[in-house]
Amino acid sequence: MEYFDERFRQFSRRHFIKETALGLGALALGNALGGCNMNAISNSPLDPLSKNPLFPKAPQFPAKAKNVIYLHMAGAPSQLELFDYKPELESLNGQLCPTSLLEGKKFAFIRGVPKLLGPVAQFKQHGESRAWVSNHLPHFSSVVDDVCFLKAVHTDQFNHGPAQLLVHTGSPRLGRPSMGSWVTYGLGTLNNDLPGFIVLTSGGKTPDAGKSVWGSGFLPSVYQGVQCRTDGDPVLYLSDPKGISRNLRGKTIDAINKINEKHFEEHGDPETLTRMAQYELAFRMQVSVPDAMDIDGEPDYIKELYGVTPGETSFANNCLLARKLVEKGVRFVQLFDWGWDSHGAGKEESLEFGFRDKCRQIDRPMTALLLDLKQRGLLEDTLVVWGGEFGRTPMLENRFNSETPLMGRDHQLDAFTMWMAGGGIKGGYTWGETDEIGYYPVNGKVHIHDIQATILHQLGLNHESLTYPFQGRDFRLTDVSGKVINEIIA
Amino acid sequence: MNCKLRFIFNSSVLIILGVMLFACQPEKIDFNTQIKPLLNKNCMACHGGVKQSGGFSLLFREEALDTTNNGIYAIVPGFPDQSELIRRITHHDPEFRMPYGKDPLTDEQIELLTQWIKEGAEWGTHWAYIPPSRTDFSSVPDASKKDVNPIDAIIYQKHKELGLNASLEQRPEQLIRRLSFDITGLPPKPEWVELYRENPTTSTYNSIVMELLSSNDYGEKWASWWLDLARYADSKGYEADRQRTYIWHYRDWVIKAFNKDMPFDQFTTEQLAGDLLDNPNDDQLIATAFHRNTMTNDEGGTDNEEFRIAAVIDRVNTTMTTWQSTTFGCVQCHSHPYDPFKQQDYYKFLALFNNTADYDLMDEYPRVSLFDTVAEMKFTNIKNWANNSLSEKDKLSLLKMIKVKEPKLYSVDVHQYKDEKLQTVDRQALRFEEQWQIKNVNLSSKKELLIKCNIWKPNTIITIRNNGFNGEILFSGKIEQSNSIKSFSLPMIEKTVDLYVTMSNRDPGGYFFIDWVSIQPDYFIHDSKLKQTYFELLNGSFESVAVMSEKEEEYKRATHEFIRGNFSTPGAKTSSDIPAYFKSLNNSTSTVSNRLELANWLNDENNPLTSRTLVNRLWEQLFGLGIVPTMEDFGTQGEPPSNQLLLDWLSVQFISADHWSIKKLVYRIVTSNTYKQTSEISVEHRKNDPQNTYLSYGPRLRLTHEEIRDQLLSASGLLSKKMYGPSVMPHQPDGFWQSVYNDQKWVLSEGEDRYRRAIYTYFKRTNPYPNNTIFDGPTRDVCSAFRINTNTPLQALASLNDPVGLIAAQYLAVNVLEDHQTVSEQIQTIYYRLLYDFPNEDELKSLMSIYEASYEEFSSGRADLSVFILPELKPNADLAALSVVTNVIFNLDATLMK
Repeated sequence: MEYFDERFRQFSRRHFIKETALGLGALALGNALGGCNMNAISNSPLDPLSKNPLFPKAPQFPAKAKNVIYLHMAGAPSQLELFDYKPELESLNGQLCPTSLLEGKKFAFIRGVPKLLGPVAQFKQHGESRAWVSNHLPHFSSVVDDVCFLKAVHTDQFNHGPAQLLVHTGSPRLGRPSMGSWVTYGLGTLNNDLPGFIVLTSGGKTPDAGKSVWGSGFLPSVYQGVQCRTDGDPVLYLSDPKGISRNLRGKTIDAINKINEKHFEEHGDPETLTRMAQYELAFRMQVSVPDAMDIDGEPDYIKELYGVTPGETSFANNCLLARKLVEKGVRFVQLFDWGWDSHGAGKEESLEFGFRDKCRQIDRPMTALLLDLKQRGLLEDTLVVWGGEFGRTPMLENRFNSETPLMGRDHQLDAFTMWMAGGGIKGGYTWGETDEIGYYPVNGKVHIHDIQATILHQLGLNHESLTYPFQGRDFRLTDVSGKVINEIIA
Repeated sequence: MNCKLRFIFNSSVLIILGVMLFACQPEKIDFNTQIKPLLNKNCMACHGGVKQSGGFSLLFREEALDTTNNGIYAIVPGFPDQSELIRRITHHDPEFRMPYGKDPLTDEQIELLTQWIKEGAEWGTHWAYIPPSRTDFSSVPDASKKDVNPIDAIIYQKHKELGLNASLEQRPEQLIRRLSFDITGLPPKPEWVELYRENPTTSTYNSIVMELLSSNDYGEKWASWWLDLARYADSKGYEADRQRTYIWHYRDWVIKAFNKDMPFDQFTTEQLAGDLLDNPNDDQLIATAFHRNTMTNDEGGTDNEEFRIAAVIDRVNTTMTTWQSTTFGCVQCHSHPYDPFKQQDYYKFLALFNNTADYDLMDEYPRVSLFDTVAEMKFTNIKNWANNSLSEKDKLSLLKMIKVKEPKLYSVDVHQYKDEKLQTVDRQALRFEEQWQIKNVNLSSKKELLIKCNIWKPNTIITIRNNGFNGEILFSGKIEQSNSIKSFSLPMIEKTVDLYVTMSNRDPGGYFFIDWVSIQPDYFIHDSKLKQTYFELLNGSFESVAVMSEKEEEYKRATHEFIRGNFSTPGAKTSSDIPAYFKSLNNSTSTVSNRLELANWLNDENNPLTSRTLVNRLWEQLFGLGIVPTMEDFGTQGEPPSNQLLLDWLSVQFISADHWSIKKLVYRIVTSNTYKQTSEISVEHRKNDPQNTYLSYGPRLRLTHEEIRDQLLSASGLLSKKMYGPSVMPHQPDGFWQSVYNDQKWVLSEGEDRYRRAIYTYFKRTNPYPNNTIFDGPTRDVCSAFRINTNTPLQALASLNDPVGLIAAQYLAVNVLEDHQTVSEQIQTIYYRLLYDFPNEDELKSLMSIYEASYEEFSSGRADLSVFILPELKPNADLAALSVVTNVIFNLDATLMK
């Protein structure tokens, strides 16, 4: 509640006059973090930008990470074909699933008694940490010593929409703020010329749960994720109308602000000053956003490292963009890659074809992202998180009790793999283990809320006290649960 | 000294001492203002409704005075020395001292609590639970007196107490502009501004207010406010977020209700319980779509019961927020931490909503069919026949079946079997080779079985058996391919049986379903022609709206409490009622057992919250800050009213003098001097009343996203005045909609539908219209009691570059170019069209210089005219330059504010 009060005052017009000291405190923080782009932050307490709700703010305790890049594989990739190697499952391949494993279970599509399905991939151990990675991710297997695998993550939701909402908002229902919104609400942004929370999508579709997965819910809309698109305007209405030159746009904004200033002198409403500052910022964003979103100017070896194709919408491009954005001080970069729902109902959705292609699309870019962040010294304070909204069953999917010619797996909520890297998380480490067939956790079981608590913790935020009052209670990202996974913190 | 004398001496000393003590003693401690906030802040988190550490809770007096876990009394009224509470807050050992692990209370706070216990530790009733009618209004002047608006009198009284001064009246052009936006959401007609400028009298002003209130624009403006509370949208939410067909009838109902100034009590009743009124008409049924605006999850494999419960919970929370400003949501999982509501209260309240027939089905039944003229005539025929031929009960059932197709049974209502094994049901329909068991069907009179078939295979056989999968066949027959309701006549066998319905086909595979069944009397035994009409109405294709419909007695669901709020862990069975605390306020013992009684309770003049809530919401719309600033919470954690006399006086007037008329309430407020005050004020003023809590100056608010759009369209002459009907799709950036499992496309509307008022813009929950989101509109996923205004660079970009603004600017420029010779005149005219005043010299200079710079770019060819100006407007440099200037004026702070 106190947290909310403090934050709320900054943009609420009726609190406007009260707050002047904050700007200076936050400035000191910016220096402590070695924050970037300090030129953009004026130290005058009268500067309306210092009342900007996105103004950088001290974490609640010393932070290990400044930024987050969250790679969400929408549709839920199979852990059994990527990281959670189960030789036992291999030997049980084709056998009917014991009914004891099915009792009381609910599946999206499996009916009756399905067969077990061995891994549709070859596994090997890699790096000093001897981490198991399948042949689908040859590049990624070279960086496992920077990565921490969480092999026993579980969730409560077995449908894509609610499960994605749970991952990103802490609740399966619409209406709650997303993780990036909480983070920008808690910490503000480090670059005043760019939004603090940027979303990039690939795979041809937005996530199943729609834009709510980066919405601000009941938090002020200023904290919602800004979807930067790779075709059309990267930010809605960013480009000037055809025929209006940059020069003319500059003059129009000058004219607007000159007249606004006159009006301000008459009525003295400080909100007018804020508006003037926002028009100036908008004008700067018209340059800074396309610049941040432009990968053409990157050196060839970088383009090659990621495997980008400028001008297209791809996961590779988005990974490179994520690095650029984080480098420029964007607090939270959220990537969604659609197309991981491998039920086996069609070629695109099968483990033999579609899934393999999807792996190929992400392998090089996500590896490049880690390497590139590392070589720039950014991995230390950038937390990279990878995962889906749930996992896949050890059973072959038999949609409506009839076998399909292609191989696929149904949704599974009890155990799946996620990984994290950088941002103060142990590298070359694995936490959590599943049973012989990858069905249930055996130890190190963590819930989605624990992942969220840990991400906030690395950013210097306590998930229990980062709250906002709504409908009579203090809401938080982790609802009423969540525990920081101390075991994986370096 | 003899004894008697001594006694007299002693007692007089005592009396004198007593008088002295009394004189020094401050007034009795007030629980609500002095004690409750202290307890809420320091104690209630551990000793409240959620946690009762040590067996001690401070929520209710009877709990607080009870023994704690270790048998000690925490509070002994009158005896602070014996009260463990005082011992613990003053304890020297931090291990024992309360509040635990926090700084000790101050001496002052300890003194306050001690004195309070000494005075008897009385609990007060929180201000919001005492009906406004009990407030003392003796200081308020008589409303019938001419020239005194009691609102002003009450506010000036407060100003006097606080040493504030009211501000002067706002300049006519600004005042009338704000007034017009506030009442109609549109800029005023210039004549009105001029009229008032020339003749700034109260009667001129009041007649303008009347004009505005009687315009149809009024309903289109205020409906938006209500639709935020009603979480109205054109789509169903969740993953698929498909279109919610014909729900716009509800939006139109709201607009019409505002325009005809439907009394708020009736407005309440029809939305919460229109279906329970006698012979409800279509409008009264459509009104109940208020609570069908909850989300529906169409995703495959979801548990319908889970999402039905989610919708019911949303209805509970929305009702309490909308009508009672009460935060009830937290009581789902545990007793309210701060307010007097127990967890049991939540489920009693939930039971009121738990027996509507809907349950998260894709088709969103029950729906009311809206008949065309021909069908309406057929319906009248049946009604007339039924009036003469059926019992009252049968008549109502028949009419209900025709209008909303209720009652009926879905797979969740029956037992569903496959291979004679009971199935867990996770979908709506009965599939091929499954069986339904319908228990306890009384066949002592002639019955008919209605089956909604969804069968796309030839030679499908439906068999109905008596008492068992292999029981006696009551009916068996082939049915043709169809997607319609069929009737099967059941034999009379004078007893109650279990029916078994099976569907089969020799040729396996493929989908075919029974959507639902219904058992009803065979109404038309003797009239086959009328029966045919009946089926024409049942199977006709009509516009239909999802509505509330109460389940019949025999099909009612039991309501259970949910342990820790989780629907999958049901606890004790419970029954409908309002929270016990509300009943205790009136010593009421009668039960509120259905939605109609609920509406009556909300509309009761003794309900302490309904009228206050409405008045407060309206006030917030007009002044930007509620009299109670916490719009969603009048409870003890909310902020107290800044002027309770004002809130209560208005609330009482609203019911007793204005008979729930919202228009009259608006009129009362906007004709006050308080409303008319200028927002142009001194630094001093702003310093003394920084948040304008005490209304010492006029409000200055940013236009809503609806007003921003409507203003530009109106100024340019493009605005369509067409009312009602399906939502429209105006210009939106390409590629903004990308949906999973949903091929719906944003198709730019044709003709005037591109330029309708914002309230008619299609609202898709997972992807709302960009300017809605950018300018602080809510997502409408759940009830939203207020919008938080932000001021962001994305708003600047949208306002500068949104094609709607550009098109409007060009049309306005063309329009002005035709009638005015000089550039200066043209610019001044456009400025006037938006702000009803002319720019001063400096402003005009800035605008002229933009004109010249633009003209220079366009006439020299450096900027491309043909891509900037719409082709139909005959591009030329004059037009382009004037359009750029217009765009500047559209973006002025003064234009975006009111």
